[in-house]
Formats: sequence, structure tokens, C-alpha cells
Amino acid sequence: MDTSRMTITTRLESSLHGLQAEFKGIYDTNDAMRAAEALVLSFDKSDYPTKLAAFFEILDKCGIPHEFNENKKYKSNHERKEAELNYYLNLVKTAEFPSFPEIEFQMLDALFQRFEIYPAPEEYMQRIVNRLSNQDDGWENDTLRLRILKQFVKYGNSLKDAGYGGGPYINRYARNNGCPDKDKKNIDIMLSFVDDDVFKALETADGDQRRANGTYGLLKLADDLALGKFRTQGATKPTLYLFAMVYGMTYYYGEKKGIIFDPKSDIDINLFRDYYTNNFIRFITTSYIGRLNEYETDPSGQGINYKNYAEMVYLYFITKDMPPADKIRCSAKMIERIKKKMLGKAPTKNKDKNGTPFASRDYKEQVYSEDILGLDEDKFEAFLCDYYNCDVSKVLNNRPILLESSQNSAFSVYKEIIEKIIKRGAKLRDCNYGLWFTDTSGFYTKSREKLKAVAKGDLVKLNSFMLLLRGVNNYLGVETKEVDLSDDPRNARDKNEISNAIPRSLCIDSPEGVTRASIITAFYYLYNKEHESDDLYRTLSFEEHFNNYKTEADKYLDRAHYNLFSGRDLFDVLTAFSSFAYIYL
Amino acid sequence: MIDKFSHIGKWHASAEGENQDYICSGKQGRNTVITLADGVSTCKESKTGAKISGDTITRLFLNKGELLQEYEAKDIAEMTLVEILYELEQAADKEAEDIEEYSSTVASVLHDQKNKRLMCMSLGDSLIMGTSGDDCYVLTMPYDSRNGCCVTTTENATTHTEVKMFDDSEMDSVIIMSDGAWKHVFDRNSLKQEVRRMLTAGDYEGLKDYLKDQDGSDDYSFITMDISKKIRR
Repeated sequence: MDTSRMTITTRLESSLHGLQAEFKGIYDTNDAMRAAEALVLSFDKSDYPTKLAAFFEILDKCGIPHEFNENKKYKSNHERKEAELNYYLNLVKTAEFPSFPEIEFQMLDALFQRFEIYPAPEEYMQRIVNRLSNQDDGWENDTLRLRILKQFVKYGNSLKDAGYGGGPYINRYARNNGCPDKDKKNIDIMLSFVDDDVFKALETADGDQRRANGTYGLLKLADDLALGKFRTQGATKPTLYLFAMVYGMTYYYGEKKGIIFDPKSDIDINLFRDYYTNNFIRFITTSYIGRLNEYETDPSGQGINYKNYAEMVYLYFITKDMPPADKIRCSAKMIERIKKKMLGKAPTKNKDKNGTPFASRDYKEQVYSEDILGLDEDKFEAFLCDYYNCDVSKVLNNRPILLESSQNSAFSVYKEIIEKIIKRGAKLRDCNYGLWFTDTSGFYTKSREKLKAVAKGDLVKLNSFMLLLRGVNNYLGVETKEVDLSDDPRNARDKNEISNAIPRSLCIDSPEGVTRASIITAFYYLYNKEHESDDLYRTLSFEEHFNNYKTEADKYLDRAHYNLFSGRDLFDVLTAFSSFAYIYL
Repeated sequence: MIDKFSHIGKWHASAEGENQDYICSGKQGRNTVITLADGVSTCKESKTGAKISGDTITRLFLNKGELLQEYEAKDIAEMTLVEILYELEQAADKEAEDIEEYSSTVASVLHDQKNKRLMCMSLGDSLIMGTSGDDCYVLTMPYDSRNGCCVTTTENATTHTEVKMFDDSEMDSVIIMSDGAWKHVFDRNSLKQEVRRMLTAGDYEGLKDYLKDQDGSDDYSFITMDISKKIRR
């Protein structure tokens, strides 16, 4: 599949459609034999045609021709029917049905051909920058991080008003690179003397210099955004809003005068759905390999937090028709004013008439239905103080972005799924098998040769593939070590401990910890448990399975206020595919 | 008063193709209808399909518009699409073609002066806007066509069809624009101020000149209808 000319959207669609076309059903020799036995038992009975149709379906999905073409004359229809049955029984014995290892190989191969189609955050970021940059700036040949840096400098006044350092260093760099003194105030000329080597300073910078207000704060920000390096403790989210401001991104919140939904510039879709999510592909990028503890490993997938006053301030100014630098300055000032004013104080109107605190969906509905983003600045600020929790005294480093980060609805849904798993008689320690279509623990030993056959010599791609599957498997389940039980008995104990371990994603105990990926993981085990013995489900194609799976998953994701299950998300596709393997193999 | 404009875009012009946009209008009694249909370029008979869809919906709204307004939005959409598909099937059968070759978007507005209502229906990526005083309002949102546009022959097209009703006193005028046109009058998600001024002043000649200056790749068309007497031309 030549994907070089395809957009991200068409690539992702072709990947899912390709998997669906390839896996119309999984059947092996045992399935065919069982169907043949059922045929024999139903011979001369009224359900013979039904059993025959089911038998044909298996042969069709395995690509085995089965037309009974004998021109011999038979004494009766019954004799002909007997001959036909014998033909089918012989077909089952002689035809080549895929074996379990062959099916496993086919699945691995199908994923290997397609996994690189799924974009890393960097690619989504590149798309946004390409779409929204001003062509007249002439920066299209610069590296992505340099383009973002220049955008911040030219349109965002180097984010000084947002507390970022880095402007003076960039100016000095330009001068050292030949920018004439007389032109240093002309920003376009100054920036023309800034190249990607400006980032070299980050290599030797210490912690203080890399902080937001440090000497190279702006450079680190541009670098992080370009490479999809999501930082912990809420550090990334405010930067996304600042990015949205300098790139003139939009926010659609219902019918307003002269406003349409613009999918190319919409902040919700482009930044919070496509870019800032738990995209497992990023774990095989050079930024992340070997450095996972530096980054936020499981972004919640919550998107815009409508209960957070700082995010509402950012959205308010994003929707205003004003220069980006003014948006940044005004939003920073409003956030700070409210922070100071409301320190130690509670909102007075954040509960309904029954005294129940408003939920996230209530806050979101307010944005849509009551046009609070259309209020004058003073009224909007007063509104936030009345309705929102703006007291940062109890959050880490008094950071407004961390307020109201608990996801009560999502946690409630998560617990509901866990309870359902347990009610089905499953123990959580049994829900640790992870990916079903392959055993990642054998990747470097017994499965190595099989994987090399899949890779057909492309060992670099193979390495990324294995890293990816192991990453997903370690999230979904617990990777068991390959141990030699005949040796040290401690190995057997280790293996038992690991095999009884519960994945961390199934052990979340607070609304702050739940994420979209953890809900999908819990749902994965529930769905498998619900359908593992369902003969009807075993006959479905992958497309049918995916559609059923999505329908069921969306019921939980929607109530949790997360993005719905999607064929564009690699994690979603892998869990659906693995569930398909679990039910049918 | 009704104003129409349609111009072939650079793509079709350079390939010696045809303008796939179809605009039409009709008046019957106190009912007036304006319609725009945009043929799917990759379909062989899309220009014919656009004409058939446009004429069918116009005729239906003129003849049965008052009756249709009694129904729920989804039923109006379904009844209209059934009519359109029937006509497309007739044409396809006659030429021994697949019905898909006649695919198009379709958008229409009925002004029922007797009941003082506006009924807007849109399937696809055209845009219907209304003006009131100095403001413009999006009445039906263009379909988000990033994953392909929903058209007349799309399965379950009814679920993607928007039907809205308004009191005719709310609007001074309405305009339907093809995607090739409205993409030039919006700056990302906001209507450009100069275009807003043209629309609220009824300066459609100015709008035509503006669109010609954009020299768009796709065919660009619009059709407008004055509702109130407030529009000064």
C-alpha cells in the first residue's frame, strides 16, 4: 500500500478497512471439522441447509472453493446428497486450513504491514502547523520545532506575558549569526538569522535553564510540542492553549453569529483528540525510547476540562478577534487576577438548588447554551468567580491548570466496568493476558524467528514493531517472563507472582487517575468475558466484530465524556483486534 | 427577489469539464423555493444527478411544502430523499447506469409566506445562511467532509440531513452557497467582515465580483432570496 501520497485521514481509514477486508473470519482446521461433524449429524434433518450454509461460510472465509461439480448421474436426490456430503468431508481432510500458528502469523503480519501508518504526535503537529502557518513567513523549509519557535516569537511576543524566558537568548543568537544591529528590531529579519542550531543550547542546559521562565524555556517548549513530549503534572495543557492562540486556532461551541465549525483549525479535534492523547506510537519515537519516566505516559484523554477556570479563560480569549499576543497577555492577566482574588475562597454558585455540585457536563452545557464565552470581560470574570472553584491553595505549586482535574463521571464508569467483570466470575488477576494474538514475552526468544519471517529482513521496522506491541501489552496486561522452570525454583515463584499480577490500568482508585485508555482496557476484559463462549460471535468477521465492539465501548466512553472508540486510534484498533483473536482463537 | 450566480472552478475548467453546481428556484402561490445541488465530480452523471435532485426538491417543496412542515425534521428529510432517490433511480435505469453515478449534495429553502415560515434542508457540504439587520447567521452547517461527503446516494443519508424551521420574521434574506464559494468567504471559522457587509446590504453583485477574484479551484455558486422588504439593493 503506497501511503506516501495519502493524508493522515485516508491512511488511517485504509488501515482499518484493510484489516477488515483481510479478516473476514478466523477459522482453522478444527472449526472446519466441527462444522463438518455438525453437517453429518444433521443429514436428513430439517436443519441440514442451515448447517450447510454455516459450513460454506467457513470455507469461503478461508478462501477454499467448494462447488460440487460432479456430472455423474445419481439414482436419486438422496444419493446425490450423500455424494455431495462425502465430497465436503473429503474437502475438510485435504484442503489447507490455516493452523493456529499460521493465523497468529497472519495477524502479526497484517499489523506489521500497517502499524507505521498510525501517526505519532509529531505528524499531527506537522499537519496543524502546515495548515495554519502564514505562507508569507516563508518558514516552510525550517524544522518543525523551529517553525513553532518562530511563531511564538513573532506572533506571541516570545510568550513573555505567559512567563516564558528565551527571547533574549534568541535575539543574541540572531546577532551572533550575522543579524545586523540596525535590523534587530525587525522581527522578520531577526528571525531569518535563526536556524535549528539555536536548539543546541538545550543539550547542555541545566534544569533551571530549561524551566518555562528559564533562559531557554521557549526553546524547550517548542521542542516538546514538535516532538509530542507530554510533560507531567499538568505542564503540557496550558502550552497547548498558548500554541492555539499563536496559530489562530478556533473553538466551536454551538450556533453563533457568522461562525461555522472549521475542522482544520478547531482546537478540540486537532489538539485534544488527535495530538494530546495516549498515542502509543510515541513510545517508539526517539524522544521516548528509554526515557519514559520523564513524560506523562498516560494522558487522560479528557480533552478540554470544562470545570477548570483557567481553561475557560483560555477558550474565552481564543474565541476573541484580537492579535495572538493580546490573547496571551489578557488570558495570563485574567488567570492571575482570579487566582489572587479567590485564594482561600469558595465559589458561591457552583451547586444546583438541591445542593449538588455541578458536574462537568453541566459546565460544558453552560458554555454551549448560555454563551458565557460571549460575555463582556468583566462579566465573564465575575461569572468564573461565582461558579468555578478558583482556589489554588490546595493544588501542587498553586497551579490553576490542576484545579478540578478529577473525573468523577469517568471514574464512576470505570468502577462500573470493573464491578461487571467481577460479577461475571472473573478475578482481576485473570485479566492480565494482554494482547491475545501474540505472546510478547517470547519476542526475544522462541518467537524471534517467527517475527523475523514477518519482517522479511527489515529489522529496524521489526524492532519498532516489537517495542510497540510490548508497550501496548504492558499497558493492557502483565508481561510474563520466559523462565526455565526446571532450574532455580525461584524462577517458578517469580513467574507465579507475575502471572497473578493485576495490570495497573485495572487498579485505579481515584477520579484523578482514570484515563480513556484505562477504561478501554477494563472494557476489553469485560467484553472478552461476556462473549468468550458465544458461538454466534465466533462467526463474525472482523468488521462485524469491530462495529459491535465499538457500539458497546461507546456506551461507556460517552458517559465518561471521552472521545468515542475509533478506527483512527491505534490502541483502539489493537484492543479490538486482540479481542477478535481472543474470541475466535 | 432571487439572485443566482454560478461559475466553473479552475479544476473543471482546465480539464475541459463542466460546472457541477446546479441552482434553481420556483414560485407557486405564496411559496418560493431556492435550491442548490453540487454534483460529485468523480461520478459520471453527477451534473444530471444534481439537476434531478435540485428540480425534485424544488417541486416537492413548492407542491407539498405546507404539508411537509407538519412533520418532524427526520421525517421531512426521509420523505424528501425518497422522492429524490426515486427520480434518480428512474434516470439511472433508463441509461443502465448505477444510481451512484448521479450523486450530489442538495440544499433548499422554502419560504412559506402564508404560514410565515422558512424551511431549510441541507444534505452535504453546502451552507445556508440568513441575514438579519447587520448580522449573519449560519442556518445549516456544512457537513464535515474530512471523511467523505454525505450525498444523495449515501446509505442512511437521512441521518446526516439537516432540516430546520424558522419564523420568517427572524430573517431578512437567506443564501445557499456551494462549498466552493463559502470556503472563500470564511476566515477559518468566521465570516469575513467585508462579506458580512455585502450580504446584509444585499450587495450580491459585489459578492459575485469578490468570488471571481478568488478564482477558486472548485465550482462556486450561490442563490439568494429576500425575505423581508428591509433589504436595499
